[in-house]
Amino acid sequence: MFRLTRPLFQAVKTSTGITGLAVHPNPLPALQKTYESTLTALQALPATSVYRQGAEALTLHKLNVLKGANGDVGAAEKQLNEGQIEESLEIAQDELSLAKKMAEWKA
Amino acid sequence: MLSRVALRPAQVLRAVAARPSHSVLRTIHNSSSSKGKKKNYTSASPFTEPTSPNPTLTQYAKATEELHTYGSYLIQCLPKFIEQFSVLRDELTLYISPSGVIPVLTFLRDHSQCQFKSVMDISGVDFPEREKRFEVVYHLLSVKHGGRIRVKTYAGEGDHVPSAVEIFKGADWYEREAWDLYGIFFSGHPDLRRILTDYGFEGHPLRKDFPLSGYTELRYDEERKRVVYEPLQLTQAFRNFESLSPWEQVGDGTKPVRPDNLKPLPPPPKPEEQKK
Repeated sequence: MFRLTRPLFQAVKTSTGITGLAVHPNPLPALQKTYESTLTALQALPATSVYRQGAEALTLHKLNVLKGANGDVGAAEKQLNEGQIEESLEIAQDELSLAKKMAEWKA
Repeated sequence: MLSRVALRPAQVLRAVAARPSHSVLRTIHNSSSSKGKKKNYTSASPFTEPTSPNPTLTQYAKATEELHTYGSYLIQCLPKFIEQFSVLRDELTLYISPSGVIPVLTFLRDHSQCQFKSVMDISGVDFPEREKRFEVVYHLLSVKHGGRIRVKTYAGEGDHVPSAVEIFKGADWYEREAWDLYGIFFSGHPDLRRILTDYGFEGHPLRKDFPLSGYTELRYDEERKRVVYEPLQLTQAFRNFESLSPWEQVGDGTKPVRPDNLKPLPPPPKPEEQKK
C-alpha cells in the first residue's frame, strides 16, 4: 500500500506517532553515514572480538539493504524490519555510541 | 455386613506388616530415579500413572534453547563483565560483578540485538550467610524485541554498587528503595535518600536480621494530641525470630534443560602427553 505515494509521504510526514522521536527530513543519507561511522568505530576493537564480528556483520547487512533500497524509504523500512526509518536511525546511533564505548572499556 | 466389618482389621494388620520398615520421613517430589543412588525415605507410591507433565521440559523447551544461544552470545560479547548466565524456563539471568554494572546495562540498552530500553524494577535480596550479603537484581524490558532479561550483581554491607541512573532515568526511585529497605549504597546516585520509611526511621526493614515487629511502636497520645513513638514493648519470647521457614519447602526440584552443545567443555588434554 502507498507504494507510489510513499516518497511523497516521507516529505509531508508530520509525525512518527512516537513520543520524543521527530520526523527526519532526509533519513537515508543520515542513516548510511551512521552505519559507515559505526563500521569505522568497530575497527578499533580487536578482530577476534565477538561483539565486533556480530555488530559488523549486522551493520554491513543493514548498509547493503540501504544501498539496495535506492532512496526508497518504504522499501528500506520494510527490509530493515525495525519499524519506521527514524527508529532505525535511533538504533543505529545507539550502536555507534556503544561501539565507541566498547573500545574505551576494552570489553 | 458383620463379617465384612470383621474382615477390615485383618486387612489393615496385613497391610501394616507388609509395609517396608524404613518409611520414616516423607518428602514431596521424590522422583523414582533417585531411588538407586540414595536411600529412599518414602514409601512406594501407590499410583502407577505418571504425574502431570513438566512444563520446563515441554512447553518452554524451545524458548530455553533460544535463550541459551542468546545468553552465550551476550557472554561472549562481554566476557570481561558477565560472569555467567542461567536460563529458567523462558527467563534469562546474567550474573555480573558490581564493576560491570555500567558496561553491561549500557550494552543491553544500546546494542541493536538487545534494545532493553526500560528498567522495570531494581530489587535487592538479602542472604545473611553470604560474605557479600546483598544481591541487586535489575529487571529490564525490551519493547523492540519483546523480551525481558534479569541482571544480578552483589554487594557487601560496606560496598557500593555503581548507580544505573545515568543509563536509565527510571532507576532513580528503585535505587532509593533498595537503599531504604536494604541499605545497599549506590555510588553516583544524584539523590540517594530514604523513600518508603517514615521520617526519622532507623534501620533497613527488609534485612533478614531486622525484627518483624521493628524496634519502635507508635500510638496516638491523647494528652500531647499527636502520634508518639515508643520503644517496642514485646515479650522476649516473641523476639526470637527464625529466618528459616517452618514449612516444608518444595523439594529438590527438577534438573533444568540445557542444550548439549552449550554445556561447558572438558579441559583440553595436557600438552605433555602429546610430546611423548
